[in-house]
Amino acid sequence: MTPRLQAIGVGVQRGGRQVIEGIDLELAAGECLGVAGANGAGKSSLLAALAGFIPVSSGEVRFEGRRLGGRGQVPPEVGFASQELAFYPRLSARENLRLFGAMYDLRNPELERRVEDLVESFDLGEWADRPASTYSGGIGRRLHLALAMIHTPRVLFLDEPTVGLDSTSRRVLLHSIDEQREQGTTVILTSQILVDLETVSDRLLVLARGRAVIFEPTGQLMGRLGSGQIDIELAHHPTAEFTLNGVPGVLAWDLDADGVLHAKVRHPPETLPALLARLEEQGMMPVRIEVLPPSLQQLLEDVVS
Amino acid sequence: MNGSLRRIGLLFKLELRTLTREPRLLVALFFVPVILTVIADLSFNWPGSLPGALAVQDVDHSELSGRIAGQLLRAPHSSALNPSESPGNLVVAHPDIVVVVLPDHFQQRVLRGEYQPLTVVADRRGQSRSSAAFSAINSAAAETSAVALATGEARRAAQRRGAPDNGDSAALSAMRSALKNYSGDRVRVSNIWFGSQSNSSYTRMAQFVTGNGVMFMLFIAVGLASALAADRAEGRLRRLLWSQLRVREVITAKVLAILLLGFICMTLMMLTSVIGFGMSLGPSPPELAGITLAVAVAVSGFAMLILGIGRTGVVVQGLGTILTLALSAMGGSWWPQEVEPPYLRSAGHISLNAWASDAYHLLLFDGQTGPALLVPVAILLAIGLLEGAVGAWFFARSIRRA
Repeated sequence: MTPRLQAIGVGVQRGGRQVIEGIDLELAAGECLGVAGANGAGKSSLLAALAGFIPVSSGEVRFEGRRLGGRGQVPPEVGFASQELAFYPRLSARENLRLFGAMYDLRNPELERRVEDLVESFDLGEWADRPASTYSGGIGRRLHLALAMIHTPRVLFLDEPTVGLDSTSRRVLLHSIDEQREQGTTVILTSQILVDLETVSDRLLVLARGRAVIFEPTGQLMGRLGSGQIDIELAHHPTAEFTLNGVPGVLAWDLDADGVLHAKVRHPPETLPALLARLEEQGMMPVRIEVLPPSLQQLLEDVVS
Repeated sequence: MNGSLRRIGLLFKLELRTLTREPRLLVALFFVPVILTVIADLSFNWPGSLPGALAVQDVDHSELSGRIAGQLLRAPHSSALNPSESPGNLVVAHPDIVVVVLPDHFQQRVLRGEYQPLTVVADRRGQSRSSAAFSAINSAAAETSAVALATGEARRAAQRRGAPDNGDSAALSAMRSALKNYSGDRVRVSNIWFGSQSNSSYTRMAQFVTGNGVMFMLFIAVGLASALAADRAEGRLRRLLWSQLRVREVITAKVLAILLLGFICMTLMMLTSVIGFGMSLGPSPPELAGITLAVAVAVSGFAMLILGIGRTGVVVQGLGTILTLALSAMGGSWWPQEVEPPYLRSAGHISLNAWASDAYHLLLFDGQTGPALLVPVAILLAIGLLEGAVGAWFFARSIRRA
């Protein structure tokens, strides 16, 4: 089956500098790819190249088997929300949605139905008829993202979609991404808030200096590389000779002033018995144990470091 | 094609909707030009006054005074004043009117060879407008002087011959002969201030309206161009262009908006002067509309050019404003080109303002129509198309490179 989006050895040069190099990927309908990386790693450039906004300097991008030419030749089946908000501030949310929908040649009643769906999906009802210039940053971003979905794109690119959103807006956005995926839309999003990528993406691509350093299913990655933390409150403050050095799976540890032990461990469920055994050996009695699962944030920090 | 027209129509509606939702912009674009027109019209030509009008009061009612009064009344904006009316009251009430009085015993004194003053009554406040009237009066005085010369010669010749009536009959005969031989047509009153057209109300008022109208059209175009530049710089345009929308459709919609709004602005300024102050629309209002449309085409080309050159809305607005002011000054939008030195007048023709001024001048000042207007109108269209094409190319390139 032809993949929805395919990148074969994609490289991108901007201002004479290689910002993306050798990216290979294939995404199927309804799949969600999370792209992570430090600032300047090339996330936005990769999205622009995959969407066809900028030309690739090497390799090729294929949309449903068709090669994209770059230079702004964007297939109408693509939806894109850049980092910067872009809508008409003197128009209301409904008017913006109608305008952008009409530019994709949507006609009534389909256009009106789509507008109302997005107003509801992004919880814009209260603001839908007010000028967009009066919106807060979060509401403006909701409209910005809704505009990218007005024409029900088959591939949706979201560049840092959760920046500046409060928890409600983030929940609304992540829910709407799930809705899009259920409808068969392929979603590619970047974010610095890695818990968002963890929540919605099927696969994760981590970029460092324009190269893919990790590209695999999110769950598998978390299980393979993820480090977690185990916090243990002890009944008595340990003696100076106390140590966790040499316990299998323990990567680092420290003891705070309240007598709480913080251990950074690989695969917490497997490490916890050995850790408890070491405490018993040294006569320490745990009164509370808290196990924190591996986090993508931690993973990225590990990779970058 | 239908989809393309629909998208152009939607963008055009967006332009108008944005305008109607911004009252300050509406005031700047339309209310300010109209108010300035009213102020200028009040300054140049207050209601009820005529430029340099001449009133002729024939008190003598003689053969000679009737002939001279007839000649004076050929001057533009001249009228007869009833002998019972006070010339002084008239000129105080209407400082732009000059009264010339042909006094009692006018003919009798000429025949006697006596010194004969023409009485002129005028108010100093109107003297700047009275040159035409004084020119007509001087012509009439020359005519009277010629007649007096002939009668004086005839009288002296008769006296030398020892005529019993002291030469009275010879003088009368000479006067009639002079009036017969030297008709009033010998000295014509020709006054460039009044012109010869029926639409002589084209004065500083029409100069202001058409000149400043072009300048305000340019300001409107600059405003709309800077809005599009802001859309480009802030990502809205790029986002719209990800859809089926094409750059040529964006440009078409913008040009249509500039044409319409510019035309409305000029029309409002003209109608204010026509309805409120009696300005004439000239011999051919359809051709006047045609000139205005050609000016709007040139103005839209200018807008595209600065849009192509400037990167952001601020740059386009600033550059456009400076160029508009400079071109308006050079091209005769602020003052008639006739007052400029020849080299400046020639240099001014690099601006669309000068060609617009030429076209309006030919139609409204000189009353010329049809082929006479072709050159300035064709040049205005050429400026619009050339600047528009260059600007559109740069604009499209800037989008590709964004």
